Amino acid sequence: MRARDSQRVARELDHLQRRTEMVLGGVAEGVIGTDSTGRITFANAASTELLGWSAQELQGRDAHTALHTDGGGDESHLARDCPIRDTLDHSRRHRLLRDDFWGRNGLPVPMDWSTGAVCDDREIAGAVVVFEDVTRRVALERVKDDFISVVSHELRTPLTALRGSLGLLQAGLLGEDAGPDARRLVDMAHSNALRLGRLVDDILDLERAGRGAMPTSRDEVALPRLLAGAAAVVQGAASAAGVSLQVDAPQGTVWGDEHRLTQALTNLLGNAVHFSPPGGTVRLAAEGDRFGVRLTVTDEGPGIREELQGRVFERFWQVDSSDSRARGGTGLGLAITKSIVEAHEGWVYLDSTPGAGSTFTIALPRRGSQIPVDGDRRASRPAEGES
Amino acid sequence: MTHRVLVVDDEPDIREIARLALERLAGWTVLTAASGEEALEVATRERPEAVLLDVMMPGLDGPSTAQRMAADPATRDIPILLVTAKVRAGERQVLEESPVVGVLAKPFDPATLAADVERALGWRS
Repeated sequence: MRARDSQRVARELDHLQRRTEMVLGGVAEGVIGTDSTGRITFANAASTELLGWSAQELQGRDAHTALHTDGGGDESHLARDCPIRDTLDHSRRHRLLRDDFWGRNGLPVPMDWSTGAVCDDREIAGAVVVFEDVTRRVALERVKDDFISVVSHELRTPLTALRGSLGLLQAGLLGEDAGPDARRLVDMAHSNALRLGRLVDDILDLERAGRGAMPTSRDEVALPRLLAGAAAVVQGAASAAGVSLQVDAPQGTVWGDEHRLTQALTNLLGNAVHFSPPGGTVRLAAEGDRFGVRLTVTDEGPGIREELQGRVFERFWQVDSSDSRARGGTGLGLAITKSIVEAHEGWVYLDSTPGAGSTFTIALPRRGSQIPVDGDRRASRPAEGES
Repeated sequence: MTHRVLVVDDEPDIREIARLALERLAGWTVLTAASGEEALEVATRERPEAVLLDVMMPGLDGPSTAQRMAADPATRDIPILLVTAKVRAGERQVLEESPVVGVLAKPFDPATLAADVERALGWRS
C-alpha cells in the first residue's frame, strides 16, 4: 500500500515537472531558474535559442556570470550590484529595460528582463530570470532618433533665416509707410516663426536626452542666482497675464548644470503662469533636506485631475490642447524638464488637487549622493531598475 | 558708434540678414565672406575691426579659421566672435580651445545683434 502510494506520488511529481517544463518551453521569452546561490538549475528552450548555449552548458553556471559578462572583462553589472543577487539576498523583484546580455558568440544583446524570487516556506529557494531580445526595437528607436535629428537640423537653417528676416522687418525695416495690417501680419509671422523654432529646439533636446547625449555640466550653482534667473525668463509672460511671481530662495547651492536647471525651472514656471488665473501668484522656492535640494513651483491654477497626473510628463501631452496651442505651448516642456532632472539623477513629481492648484517639485541629490525612492508620489522616474 | 566688421557664414541668407541688421539698424559697415578660406583673404586685405565667424561651415570651419587667423601676424590682433547654435557636448572643448573673444548664440536676434556684438567684444559694458 505504502509502496504504491509513493510510486503514485513520484509519478505525479514527474508528470507535474514535465508539464511545467513543457509550459515554460512554449514561452517565447527566455526563462532561467537558479538555486539559492545563483547557480542555474533550469533554462527553457527560448533562453537557449536567445543565448546560443545549450541547457546542459548553462546548467550549474553562475547566472550573473553566464548572462551579464562576456568572459573577457566586459559586464553589464558588477557582480555585487547584479539585480539577481539582490533578488536572492532580499527577495526583491526588478525590471530592467534595454540591458545587455551576452550569449555564446560574445556579442552583447539588448534585453528587457526581470528577476523575481522563488520562495519555499519563506526561504528564498532561488530566482527566476525572464528576458526578451529587444534588438529590433532598439534598432527602430535609433532609426527614429536619427531621423528626428536630421530633420530637425535641416529645419533649423531655413528657420533661422525666416526668423531673422521677419525680425528685421519688425525692427523697423518695414518702413514708415507700412499700414497697421502689414505690421500685424509681420508680427504674426514672426511670433509663429519663433514658436516653430522653439518646437524644433525642444524636439532636438528630447532626442538628445533620449540618446543620453543631453550635455550637462556640474557646478555648485548658487540657489538665489538660479531661482532669480529662472524667474526673470518668465517675468514678462507673468506680468502680461497679471500673475505675480514670488521667489523664496535660501542661501546655499545645488549641484548641477545651471543652464539646464534654469531651463527645467523655466518650463515649470511657464506652465504655472499659463494656468494661473489673473491676480494669482506663482511661488518658486528652494529648500535643503538631508538628501539634497528640493525646488518647488506652486500655482493657484485649476489643478490636475488625479487620473491625469501620471501623464503630464509624457511628450506632446497637454491637459487641454486647444487652449495651450492657442498660447504657444509645445507640449514638450514637462518631458524636457523630466529629462533634465533625470540627467541630474534627480526626481520631478507633482502634487495637485483639482481646484486648489498644483505643486511641481524637483528633488536634486547633493554632490555624490543619491535620493531614495519616494513611495507614492507621481514621480517622473521610469520603472526600470527599481524594485 | 560705427564699426567695420567681417561676417562669415556659408548660408547666403544668414549673411544677408546679419549685414542688414548691422548696416541698416546700427549703421555699421559690413564685409562678408562665404567660407573660412575667403574669410582669411578678406581679413588680411581689409583688416576689419572684428570677425563674426560661423562655427559649422564646409571646408575650413569656424574654429580652424580662428586658429589660422591667430597664427598669422597680419590677422592675429583682430578679435573673433564665434557664432553657433546650442553648444553640443563634444563641441564645448573645441570652442574653449579656440583663440576667440566670445561666442554668440545662433539664431541671433537681428534687432539686438549690434548691441550683442558690442557687449561680447567689450566695446561697451
